[in-house]
Amino acid sequence: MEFYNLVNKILDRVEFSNKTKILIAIIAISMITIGFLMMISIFALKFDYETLYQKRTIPQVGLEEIKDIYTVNIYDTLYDIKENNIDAQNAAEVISLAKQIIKAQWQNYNDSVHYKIGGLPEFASNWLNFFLLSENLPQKNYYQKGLIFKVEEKMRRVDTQSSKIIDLLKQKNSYETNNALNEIFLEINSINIYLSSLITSHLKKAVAEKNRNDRIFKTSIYMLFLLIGLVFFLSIIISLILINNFKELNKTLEVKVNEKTKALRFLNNSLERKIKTEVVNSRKKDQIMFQQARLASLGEMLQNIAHQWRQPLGALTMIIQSFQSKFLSGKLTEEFIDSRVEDAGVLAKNMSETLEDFRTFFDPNKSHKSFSINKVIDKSIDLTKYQLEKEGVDVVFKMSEDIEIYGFENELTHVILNLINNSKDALIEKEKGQKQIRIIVKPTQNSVIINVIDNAGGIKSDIMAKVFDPYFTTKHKSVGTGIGLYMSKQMVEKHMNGKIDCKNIKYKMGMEKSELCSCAMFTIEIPKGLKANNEQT
Amino acid sequence: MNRRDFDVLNGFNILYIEDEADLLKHTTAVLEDFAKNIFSVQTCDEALKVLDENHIDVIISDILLKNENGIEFLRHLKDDLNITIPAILTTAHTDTEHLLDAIKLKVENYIIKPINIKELLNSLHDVLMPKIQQREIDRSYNIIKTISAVTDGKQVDIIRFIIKNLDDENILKYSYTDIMEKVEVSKPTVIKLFKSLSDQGILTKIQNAKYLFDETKLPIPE
Repeated sequence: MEFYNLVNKILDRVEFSNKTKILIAIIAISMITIGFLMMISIFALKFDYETLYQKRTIPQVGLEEIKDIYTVNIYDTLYDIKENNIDAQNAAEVISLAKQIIKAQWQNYNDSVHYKIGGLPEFASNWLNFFLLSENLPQKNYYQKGLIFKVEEKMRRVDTQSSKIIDLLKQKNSYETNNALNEIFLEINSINIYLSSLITSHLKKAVAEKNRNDRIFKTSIYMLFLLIGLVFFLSIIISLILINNFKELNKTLEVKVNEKTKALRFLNNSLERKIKTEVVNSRKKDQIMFQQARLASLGEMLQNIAHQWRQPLGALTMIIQSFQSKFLSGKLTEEFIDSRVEDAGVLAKNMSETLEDFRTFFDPNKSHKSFSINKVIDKSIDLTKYQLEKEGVDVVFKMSEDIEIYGFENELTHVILNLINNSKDALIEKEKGQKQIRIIVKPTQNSVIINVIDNAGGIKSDIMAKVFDPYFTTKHKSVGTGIGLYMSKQMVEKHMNGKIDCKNIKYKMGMEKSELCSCAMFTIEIPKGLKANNEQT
Repeated sequence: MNRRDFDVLNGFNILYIEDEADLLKHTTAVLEDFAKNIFSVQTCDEALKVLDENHIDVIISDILLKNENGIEFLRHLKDDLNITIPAILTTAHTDTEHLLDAIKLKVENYIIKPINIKELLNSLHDVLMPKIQQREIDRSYNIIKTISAVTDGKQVDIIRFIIKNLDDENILKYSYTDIMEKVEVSKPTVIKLFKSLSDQGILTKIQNAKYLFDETKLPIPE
């Protein structure tokens, strides 16, 4: 359990992808080990079979043959000689042939005994011997070597003996031949006995090697089973650990997801609240903004009033002073007084009318009523006349037939005033050429289109899209609030159900050269006959 | 308003340029009581015509005229036509730019609307003062010449010498002999005149050849 916990602890620290990598690595290493072991075992077995065949079976066969040749060819021939069944000539040939065969066979035997197997099988066998079998085979080679030595000695003696016999036969010395024959018979028998012992020793070695072979086989099988079992066991353990790990990971992830969801929900709620307050704030801001814009235009209007009052005020002052001066010079006649009183009355009435115009323009009590577009535009031009004149701006108003519209008169005045003021501000920066604003009213079937065009060069393309945004201004902060066009858009779209748009055009401003000027054009489209709609709202 | 101060104005011709009809009418009505002639026009072209046909002593002009500018008009007169007539500008604006232009043009005065008649008349008086004084000097000179024609010419010569040679403290440092040599008169004439003057306290002897001239003792002419 402790091991399990330890592994878990370590695995906790390891990344998921690394965990699978570890699993795969363990399995791969195990497979390679198993494969290697199998190959080693197979090659070790192959080595053993090779040894059995090359060093044990082939030598045995060779030795048997040598034994047979001694018995059959040499012994029998010599025996035949003894019995005089064969003549000396034939016997010599047979024996020399037998000798040659024996020599070759002995050479074969020696070759196969010293045959080197080598290569992978030997390496595998040695490897197995080194690692798996602590017990080594007993060396019986001395015994074998001794036998081989003896056999070789006997063979040499038989050789000399047989040659001697042949010689004796040729000399026809029968007695000595018989003695020699008896002697050689003994020698051949002893060779046969030695050869048999050699064969037996080879057989014994083969048996011993078979045992070793069995042991290798057994050990290999055990090890393979053990390894397979180990790999299986390890894989299962690691898989289990990983699965457990995943489960835990899943659990913690679930917990985390729940926590995050909770946090998100909380955030969402707080955001909702924030948005609500922000909406309220923004509404307040809008109201303040409208108030500001109103104040700004109020200031501008005030300047207009001031100017429009200045002239009659000057004249009135002069009239009052003239009474004094005429009185002092004794020329204060009734006629003079009458004419001056009448003049003063007219001037005062004008002043009163001006004031009334501005007062109604700022009348906060909005009311729907029918009004003439032409009159609204005339009034707007009138209200800004002073400033336009001051800046040397001409206003041309192309009237069409008079169109009556139902809605807020003051708001349209406001919008037109705003457009005229913007054009005026743009025209102030224009250095040369005629400064002109053109207002064109065109009725269509369902609506009225008012175009306000100025030849101040148009609106720059990079700010074209932003001109109706709130707080966007190209003017200096002290001059522009950046809400004039925004408010105009609001008024036209929300209160008049109309559209306001702007674009740059090339236009002949009706000048003497009649060349095309770069102009900015604001277009207001107001639907006619909105009476029913507006009454509902 | 003291009428007497402004009586001096009625010998002068005034050109008044103002684009606004009401103000032009009423101001003209006031000014015509004071000036010899008042030419009221609304445009610069009309003003040029008036200048061509009449002798004008002073110009009163509004700065902002319809499509025109009073300052530009005055500059045109001064630089292009080489006419130097004192001018007073009137305006409803206190723009620094206009004010600087006016100063550069060396106009005589700058009056802010609404126009105060007294201020305008004072200003006219100031502007015309050199001319008034010149006229006064000319007149005094004529008086002296007339007197010398009907009385003893030598005595007038001595008085002229005395007045001419007074130092800053109104002291005459000449002896009878000096005067006799310079004016070429006889001694009795000198003594007679000095006695007559010292009797009236006009010329007091401080020491030898040093006399104090007291102008306060001069009799005021009727």
